[in-house]
Amino acid sequence: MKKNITQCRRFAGFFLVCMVTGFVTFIVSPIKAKSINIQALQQQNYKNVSGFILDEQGSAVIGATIQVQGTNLHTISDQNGFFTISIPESVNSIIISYIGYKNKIAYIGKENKLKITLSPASSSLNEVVVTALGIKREKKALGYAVQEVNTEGFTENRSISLSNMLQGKIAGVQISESGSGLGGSTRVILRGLNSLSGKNQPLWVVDGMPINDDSSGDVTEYGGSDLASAANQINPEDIENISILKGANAAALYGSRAENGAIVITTKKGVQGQPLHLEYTGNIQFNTVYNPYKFQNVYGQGSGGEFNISSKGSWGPKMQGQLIDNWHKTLYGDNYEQYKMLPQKDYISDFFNTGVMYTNSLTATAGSKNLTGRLSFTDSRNKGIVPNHSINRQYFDSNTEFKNTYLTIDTKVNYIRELTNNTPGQGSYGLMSQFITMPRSIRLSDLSNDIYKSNGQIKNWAGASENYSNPYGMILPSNGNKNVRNRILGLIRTSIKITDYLNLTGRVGIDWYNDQYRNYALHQTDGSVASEYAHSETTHKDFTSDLILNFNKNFGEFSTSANLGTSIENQQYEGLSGSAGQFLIQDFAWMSNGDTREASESFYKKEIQSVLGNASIGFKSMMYLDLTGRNDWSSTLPRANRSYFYPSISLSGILSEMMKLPNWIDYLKARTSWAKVGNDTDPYRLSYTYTKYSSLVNGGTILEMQLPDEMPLNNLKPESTNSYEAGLEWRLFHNRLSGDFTWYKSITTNQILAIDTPIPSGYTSKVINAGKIQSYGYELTLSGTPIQKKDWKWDITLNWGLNRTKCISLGGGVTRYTLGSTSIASVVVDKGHEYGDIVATNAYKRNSSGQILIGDDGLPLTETDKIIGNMMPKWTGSLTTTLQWKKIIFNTLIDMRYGGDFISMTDANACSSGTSKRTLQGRDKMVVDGIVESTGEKNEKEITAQEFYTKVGSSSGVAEEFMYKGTYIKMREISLGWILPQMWLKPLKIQSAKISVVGRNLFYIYKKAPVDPESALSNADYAQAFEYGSMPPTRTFGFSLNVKF
Amino acid sequence: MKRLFFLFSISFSIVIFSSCTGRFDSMNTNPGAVTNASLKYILPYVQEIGAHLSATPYQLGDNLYAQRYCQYFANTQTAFSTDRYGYNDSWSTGGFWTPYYTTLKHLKVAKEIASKESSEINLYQMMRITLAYETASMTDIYGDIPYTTAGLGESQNKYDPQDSIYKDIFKELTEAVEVLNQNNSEQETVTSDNDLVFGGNIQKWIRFANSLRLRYALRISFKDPSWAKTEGEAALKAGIMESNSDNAYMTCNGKGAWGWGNPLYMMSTWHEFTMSAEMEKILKHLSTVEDPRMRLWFGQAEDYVAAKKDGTLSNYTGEQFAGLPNGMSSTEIGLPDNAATRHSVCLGLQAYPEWNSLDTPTSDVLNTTVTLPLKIMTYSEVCFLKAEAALLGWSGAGNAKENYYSGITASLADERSFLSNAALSPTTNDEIYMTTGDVAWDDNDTYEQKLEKIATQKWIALYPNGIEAWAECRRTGYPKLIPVLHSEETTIDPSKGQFIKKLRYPDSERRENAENATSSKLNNGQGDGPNVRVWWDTGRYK
Repeated sequence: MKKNITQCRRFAGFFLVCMVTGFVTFIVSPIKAKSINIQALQQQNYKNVSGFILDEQGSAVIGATIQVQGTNLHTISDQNGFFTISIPESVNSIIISYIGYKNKIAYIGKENKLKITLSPASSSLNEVVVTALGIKREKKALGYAVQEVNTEGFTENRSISLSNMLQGKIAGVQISESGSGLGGSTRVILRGLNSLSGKNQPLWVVDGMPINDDSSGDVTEYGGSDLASAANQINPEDIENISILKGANAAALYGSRAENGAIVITTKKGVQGQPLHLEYTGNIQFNTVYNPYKFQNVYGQGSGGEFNISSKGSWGPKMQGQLIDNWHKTLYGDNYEQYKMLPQKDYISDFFNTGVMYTNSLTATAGSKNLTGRLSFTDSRNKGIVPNHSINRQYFDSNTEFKNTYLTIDTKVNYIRELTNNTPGQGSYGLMSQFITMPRSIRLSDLSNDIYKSNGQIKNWAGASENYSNPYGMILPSNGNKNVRNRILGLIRTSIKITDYLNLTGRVGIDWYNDQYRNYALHQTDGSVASEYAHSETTHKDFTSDLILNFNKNFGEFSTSANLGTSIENQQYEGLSGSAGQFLIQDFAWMSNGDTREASESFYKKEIQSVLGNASIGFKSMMYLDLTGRNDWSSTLPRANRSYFYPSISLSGILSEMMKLPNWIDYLKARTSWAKVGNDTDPYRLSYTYTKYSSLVNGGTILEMQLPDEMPLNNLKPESTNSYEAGLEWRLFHNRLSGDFTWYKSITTNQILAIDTPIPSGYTSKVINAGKIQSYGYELTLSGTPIQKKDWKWDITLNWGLNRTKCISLGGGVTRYTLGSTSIASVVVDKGHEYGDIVATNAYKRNSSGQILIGDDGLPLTETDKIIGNMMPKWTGSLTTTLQWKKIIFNTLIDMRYGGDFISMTDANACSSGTSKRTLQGRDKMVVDGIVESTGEKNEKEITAQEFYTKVGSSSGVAEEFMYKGTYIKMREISLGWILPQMWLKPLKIQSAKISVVGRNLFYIYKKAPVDPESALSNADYAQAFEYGSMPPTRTFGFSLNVKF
Repeated sequence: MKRLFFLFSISFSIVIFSSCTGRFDSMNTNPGAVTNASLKYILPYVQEIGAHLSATPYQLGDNLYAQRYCQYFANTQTAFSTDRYGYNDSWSTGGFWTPYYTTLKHLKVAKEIASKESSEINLYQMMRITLAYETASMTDIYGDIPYTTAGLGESQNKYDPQDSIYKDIFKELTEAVEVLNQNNSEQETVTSDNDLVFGGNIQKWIRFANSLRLRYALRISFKDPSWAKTEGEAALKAGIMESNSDNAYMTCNGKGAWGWGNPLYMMSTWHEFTMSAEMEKILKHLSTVEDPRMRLWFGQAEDYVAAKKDGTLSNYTGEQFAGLPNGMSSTEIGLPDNAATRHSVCLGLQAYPEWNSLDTPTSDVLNTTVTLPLKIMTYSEVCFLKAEAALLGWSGAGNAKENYYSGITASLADERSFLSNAALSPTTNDEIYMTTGDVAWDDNDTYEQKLEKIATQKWIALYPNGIEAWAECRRTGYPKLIPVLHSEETTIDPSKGQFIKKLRYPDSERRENAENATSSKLNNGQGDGPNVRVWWDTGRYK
């Protein structure tokens, strides 16, 4: 122990030394750097040269390097391709270089304003991508799949959640929004599901630092708020570039958290040598509600065809304007006349609002030779479709970089403030479930009028009931929730150039956020007992630091690049929450006013220390070999197994350089790789501990201790994933058609699993190191430019991906692992089966030829525990087209998914309560198609739709009756933009301006299910199989204006 | 520059060849948990879980299965099929299996703790007694169950035959009483915060354990009369409950965020079950006068109250107090005449004194958390046990008639003790109730007639303990329940007067422990199924 402490100190001391060195160098070096320049170019006069750099199509080239040969003087072109540089009078040429293009020498005559057109490098396009640790590398040198996301439209066609904006932009990736609408979670799965632990989403990395992507939402079929996970709060305005490192191969250097790939974001910075630029982007978007589900508008409240005010279903008489009693009078004795029984068709459009999102951003960037900076402020206001739901965010981003010959110091501070009001809940007690089950003859006006009982409770058509609430009661200001999140993402990076080929980078980053959540239910639904008030405060802290030595040198025809580094990652979570219980004084929402005042706290901490390295050797710019290795020490594993090593190797060759290929092949590359990724687990899983049980006795004030439900394993080993991939990249016909194809396979073994143990074990689960999950898949990206003329350009990109995951074994004698359950079905992984089987709680009992068996009462018989479907999609794809005519750009994105079953509880509940259009058939009589079990004859017994649907519907019903394919083709994005002509803007001193009209999630070109297929209960793995009273889907329309000064 | 490089190399080497993982062990220790806990903090947990104090297991197990199978209540929620003998796996596991095996796990750990800490010995005996009645409940519901190897984390557990489980229950109860009688010194102090039933009163624990021993002795009395006699007489001799002050009730004053108090009353306003037709028949017609307990437990029908308020009572076709038949189909449930609001819900004087006593109460009087304790075992039940033991001629049982009447008297007194105002339930008719109709004891009655009277009165006195009531209905065949209207189990035909006999094993057991759970040797070679009689069930009903 003592030894280790000393080492810790040494380690910390080392960091201190680095920081001090960095700081001193920072102070000293500008002077030093400047002196060199002065010496080299003594007593020269300077002149300013400026100009635009354009590509072969006349578009601005951003980030091209403009250099004065033989000096350090250089600058980079800005977003408009514009540059300005101060050069000695004597110099008469500059060199412009840009990756993928030929270097160009421009001569400076009398004219100091230049217009320089670059032409593409002939043989290959040396695209640069950001890879692990933020290291930029030429894409051709990579032996694994990396896909760049086109972020161009990000600031125009916005969504509240960044993940949503990635939809359809990456091959093989499944991005699914949940059913909670604005602010709800979105699930991102890069290459299928490899783990049973529920952690299958990729790691988000911003400027080389992993950030927290936890969700503070906790949803079950009974409610709770499904909230977007933390990574979705990154401001799209600040994003320069996104690369997706899809497999374990690409992410070997980020460590375990990137086992499922990584989304690597680089944020915008100031541009060197650029005077102050201001940029404004304004955006307004509207979300309009539509109702995809078909309700019936014929029969009203009642049962057996008769009106009955105490009946909760819509099984009453035909609604023909007959006079019926008002529930206000019957249940609450209010003075309400009888009213005409008529269908209330527009519950949804009448109740919900049009959501509005306004975003305003202002950015300032500037850069001198050594110092660049960018400041941005974005204000985003979002009103949800539920009347009191809103999410408002402010982003402050500051990014400064000091750079000279020897030193680069980067600091970034990102502050985000988010205020969320009244996140609506899904599930059987959620808002939509009220509309789904409410008899079709109840009037909304009756629900919204005269809402309070004398004791402050809310009146409802169903009277005192646990299962039905008044939807207007749910949106009262006094009933709801409020969350304030303050978040700081901070980063300091120092990079020292030791020699020409050696570079040392140290980085310290923190992702800190604090949530203050308050939940009010001051006016409860009729019949409920408690008024509620809960307040919780949670803080997440992710601290990452690393130190990397980078080596880059060419030896003859060999190029080498190597990194050696160490990193520490520390994650901590703390929470404190209290609930007041019933209020003593009504409407006084304060903790001290409660009669029970329960408090609880939570804590979580883990740390991973790592040593990592990689080496890349290139031969003649045509063959590359990459090796990586990483050793982690995780605090969550037992001492003996704490350290684990995982390597990767990849090889790529540019065939078009290595051999002579036909002329029409511009570029052809093959690549292959293998990687192993180790993984640790959550803290505190190694030994028995007793925790406090929230007793129901004495208001929870007595201490009761319990053993865990999960049986610990004190000898846990790290889990490991082996993954292989191979791919081909090509560009054909003068770069008019390009593509990328990848095959991959991964095998995860030794999974740290809490397997379900049968109940008599005394535990619900048991931690084991076992299991073998195997997955494979294909990813394909094809992009082409069918039309490329002077004024016209048409680009098409197709993304497609397929994944299959199978469970080879589970270990421990267990044959089933349950990912999650609701009342109607569970989602499981069975030994020998594909991942994600749906097991019905009740399924139709069938004979050997598959016919439904019927009981003597004419109703179908059921049996339990039967696999009825699988939730995993067969494949996903998307099609993007961009059509450009002069300065008008038209973009569309079509997104599709094929296969994958899910159960619609909207359908199940609407059927059992008789509100579904499906229940119109057989109201008087119907015969269920099937065989009578007792006789073996065809069923002929007549029953009614009410009998049938009350038996098969609802959450205790027959799951397969409400199971649908998740197949869809959706018009995801449309945008039409116009870049205003320069001549109009010049008098206004505006550099450029663009106006766009945008649309998002506009319509389904095709879908199978009667509800929105993209409306899972949450972003949890199992929740993909359930739509559970999801919010009505919305279409987004909007306008965007971008102005640069 | 070279020096700098040297410095870096050294630093790297330090980092690479050593890592400061020394604080990892303490980092990986959960600050929100402890590694050792006294049994005084585990006992209340076991009691609470075992008694299904939380409304979730209480609804799933006690209410959706037991209270409907023994016909205290009938179902009014279309989605619930258990009243028609439909099987629901998650209710069976959530209501019975999970709570039971969770507590059994703690007992097994407690044994180790008590063997090391002599101050925990008495607490361990209290846990053994608690588990004894939980185990009996489980095996009564399911027959053979995993027992000896269960609760230790093993996935595949063998099923112990019911007779051997009963043997162990007697052993546990006997040994626990022996140890408690030793008056061990330097025991942990136990208060009502640690022992939610007796607040640490050792003598009450001893009498409770012996009373349970008598209860289980009678349970096996038809199957193995001599064994039953041995255990029963030993229990009677060792000292059983003597008055209502010995009653075993579980504290139930919860006021969590959900306002859960007594779980039965937590659910009672949901309108998902009402008084059953069987209950109505017994409470209204067993004697020549209404059973005084009816208004203590059940409320007037809500529609009746509404009609009274409107002044339309003369047009009202229903009754003030009414029950519904068990096993209605979803269509029957949907019929207006079968609405829950036209029948009696648990809105009696004990829980909601205003609902039955006010002339036209409003539903506002129901908005309180009911903190009535949860019944585990009462002196009145013990009186009926003694009455039956007397019929069997067990020594120490006393006189059957006296025990029978003491049982009724004790039950009435006990139930009234929960009233906020004694005047709400006048005792005027008590005498007539006990001495007329089918309540009145007649020494000339046959054994069967006497048994029926004892069993019927015990069925009433046990209310709402459905698990015990259902076991006793199956053991004695009394009261003669009304067959359910519909059965979703094809092996049970209510038109032939047949009833469900046990609950089948859960799906997870059938799947993950198939060899044991689907063995045809189970339950004396009958295997598993709703029509399989448990070992002590001698077929005194169809």
